[in-house]
Formats: sequence, structure tokens, C-alpha cells
Amino acid sequence: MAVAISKQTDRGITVAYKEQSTIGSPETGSGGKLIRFSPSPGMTLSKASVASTESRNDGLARAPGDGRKTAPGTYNGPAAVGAYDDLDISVMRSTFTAANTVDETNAGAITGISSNVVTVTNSTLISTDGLRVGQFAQLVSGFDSGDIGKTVFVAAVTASTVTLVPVDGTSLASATPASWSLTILKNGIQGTTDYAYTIEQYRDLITKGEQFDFVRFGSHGWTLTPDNEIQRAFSTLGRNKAILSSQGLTSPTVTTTNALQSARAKLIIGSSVVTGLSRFSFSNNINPFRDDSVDELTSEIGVGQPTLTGSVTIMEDDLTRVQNFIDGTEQVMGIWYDAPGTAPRAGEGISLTKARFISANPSGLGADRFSTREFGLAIDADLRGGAYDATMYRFSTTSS
Amino acid sequence: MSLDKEFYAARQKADKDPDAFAKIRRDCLAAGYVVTDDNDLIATGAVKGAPQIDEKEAAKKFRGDDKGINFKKGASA
Repeated sequence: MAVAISKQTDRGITVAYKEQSTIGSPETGSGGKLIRFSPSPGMTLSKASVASTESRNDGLARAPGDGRKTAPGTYNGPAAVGAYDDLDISVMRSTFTAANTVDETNAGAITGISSNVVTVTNSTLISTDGLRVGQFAQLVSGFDSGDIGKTVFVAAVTASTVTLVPVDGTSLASATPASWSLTILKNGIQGTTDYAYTIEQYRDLITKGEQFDFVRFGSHGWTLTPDNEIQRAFSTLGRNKAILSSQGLTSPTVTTTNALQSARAKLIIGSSVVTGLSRFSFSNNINPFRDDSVDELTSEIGVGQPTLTGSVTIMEDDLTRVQNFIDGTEQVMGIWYDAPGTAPRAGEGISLTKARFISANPSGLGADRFSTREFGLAIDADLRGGAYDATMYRFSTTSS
Repeated sequence: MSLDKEFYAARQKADKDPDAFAKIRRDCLAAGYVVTDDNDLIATGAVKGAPQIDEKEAAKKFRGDDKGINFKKGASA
């Protein structure tokens, strides 16, 4: 005989979100989407504590009063192509630019490919075709048959030349096709649009829900360590919480069914794929904050100046990067991770066009292991125009 | 031949004629290009014909006002 579990477990929980348009009016009904998560703290409501300052002579003290409410939280989850597009939009504060095909229509024939520099006839690559440093693209036709399907990093662009670095570390074969095409992957850069969501943590077993009002995603991050899935982390800040006696966001849908099995990551610095990437971490925090209203019912969640932090850890094979650190060299960098399978592979990438190493910490000396060096990143807003978009980082994905 | 194509043509022959490459490299920097450590060429908004970024838009995005930003022209990466 089947017997239901009467107490809630930590696993039987559905976390769903839906974009919210009106502060104080959480969304319900259909249209919600599931957040895929690994064991995470989740969201909770906290109240500031207002300590009593009263001085008493009876040996007793007043209890603290209730201050302003906020609902902070964190969700962690395994990276998978397309799983967190909405959340990424929210933290980038901008929607994605759709994938775009570039071919001979404007640029004309490819007149040469040498050291991954592709030269075309016309001077339209930046202006009309929209190629920008830091984009990822996939080669569709016209290139050497061995190169078709490769994912490439756009390392440099002028009006009639583009440096396309294959993320697999190979070099493009020579070709001079009259007709050719490549697809710039869907990608997003930073903007100034703010998004808010209703988030619901529904306890499936006791059929009760916690509904969080007007939540802003505050940060998104990536962490890779050897032999682990790439972990995504999202922090949230909401303004209030309500208890639901039944599911508010009914039948939330999955964002993607993809897993990112055995994620492999590649680091591109300038025009070279760096061998021996060991770890990386990157995050953007837009520092959401609660307003100063003493009336919690009208409080709002604002968005602050972004804080970008990151590091790459590389096994040592030469000390070029240490020299870059000493010199304070500005670098164009890309991180690409994809799932196994035939080309073109599903994957996602992060790129920085104006980054420096601000630290270079070696692993301890004298142990039975490979030497690594962790480089901290200083990331700048890129306002140079032309082939550089005005952003601090770019996120590209093959998701539709 | 345009400056960017001349640059890559000279880069291919840089071993044989380093002076010619150094000259075109200087010309490119003067024209507002960025030359990377790997000797790749990137056109910034300071290059004639390359798209400028909207200064007010950028100021709004990064500083939250619309007073405009003074852009540094032709910096080398």
C-alpha cells in the first residue's frame, strides 16, 4: 500500500520563476519556468532587528523590534546550454542579440586565410556585418571541409579582416571561397534594463509554497574545477514573502532538457588557445539593494554598480602570463565550454575585451603535483567603439 | 590596398622585412587601430569609417548620467 510522506524533505521542492510586472503583485498561473539547481541555500525572508536603546533600572530589557524586510537567496546549478538564459538576461540587464549569419552578401569573397586571419574583399565586417571582438561563431560553409562546424573566437576585427581562433586549438586551413558563411552565436552584452521576478519555492510533499515578491537576480557566476561540472551560481534579492496553500505558478516548464555532460573548457587569450587551463571563476554582481523606506509595503529593490570578479588558473608551461601580469598588459580573453558530440557542438562562452591580470599566485613549491598559477582579473568597461561593443563582458550561447 | 589589408600582408613578410612591418604597425596605431600582442589588428571607433559608440548612451550605461564621456583615441592593447 502506498503511504505518502507526511513531512517535507529537502529534495521534493519545485523552484519556479516568472517575470513580474507590478511590484507587490506576485505572478501566479501558467508561464512559470523551473530553476534547475544543485543543493543550494535557496531564498528566505529576513527582518532587520531594531535593538531597544532604553535604559532600565529593573534588571529587564525590551525585545528588539522588527525592521525592514528583505528576501536574499542563492541558487547554484550545473551549467547546461540554455538553462539559465532568463537569469543571465536579468543580471546582464539586457536581452540577447539573436544568432546572425555573415556571408559573402556584403563582405564579398574571402581572398585569403593565413594564421587564422580571414581577409575579405569589401570593408563591411564591422559596419554592416556586425562582427565584434569577443563574439563566438560557428563556421557553416565555404571554409575548408575540415573546418566546417568548428567553433571560433573572434579575436580581432577590422573592416575587411577578422581573426577567427578555433577553440579546439587548431588553425584554419587556407581557402579562398567566393561564397561562404558563418553564424555569430546568440550573445548578450550589458545593458540598463531592469527585470524582476516572482520566485516560488513549492514544497511538493506538504503541498505548501513560499512565494517571493519582486525578486531581482543580483549576480551570476561560473566556477570550473577539474573533474566537476561547471557550476553556475545566482544570488537574488526580493522584497517580501508570502505562504501559499497551493502551487501558485502552476505547471512550470523546463528551460531546457540538456545536460552539459563532462564539460570541457577552453581559455583563449589574444589569438591563442591556452593549454593547461585548470580552473576558472567569473561573476558579475549588480549589487541589488533595498530602498530606505521605513514602510516595508512600498519598499523596492534597486540595482547598483556592477562588480565583476574572476580568475583563471593555468598549469605552468612558460611564464608569458606572468610577464603579462608584470607589464599590466590588457588582454582579449574568452572562455568556451561545450558538450561532447559532433561539430557544431552546443556550448556557451564568456568573453572579456579589456582585462588585465591583477595577481599571479603560484601554487606552493615542492609537492608532487603540477605547478599552477592563479591569475586574478581586473575587468574594465570597453568604450573604444568600432570593433568593441560598450560592455565589460559578453555571454554567448548556442541555445535557441 | 586598405590599411588593414596592408598590415596583414606586411605581417606575413615580417621576417624578411621587419622595418616595413614596423612602419605599417605605426601607421595603424596612428589611424586609431589597436595592435594586439599577437600582432592582430582591431579597429576602434577612432578609425575612420568604423562605427562610433554613442557617448551619451555609454555614459548612461556605465555612470548613470548623460553628460557624455571623453574617449581615449587609438590606445594600444
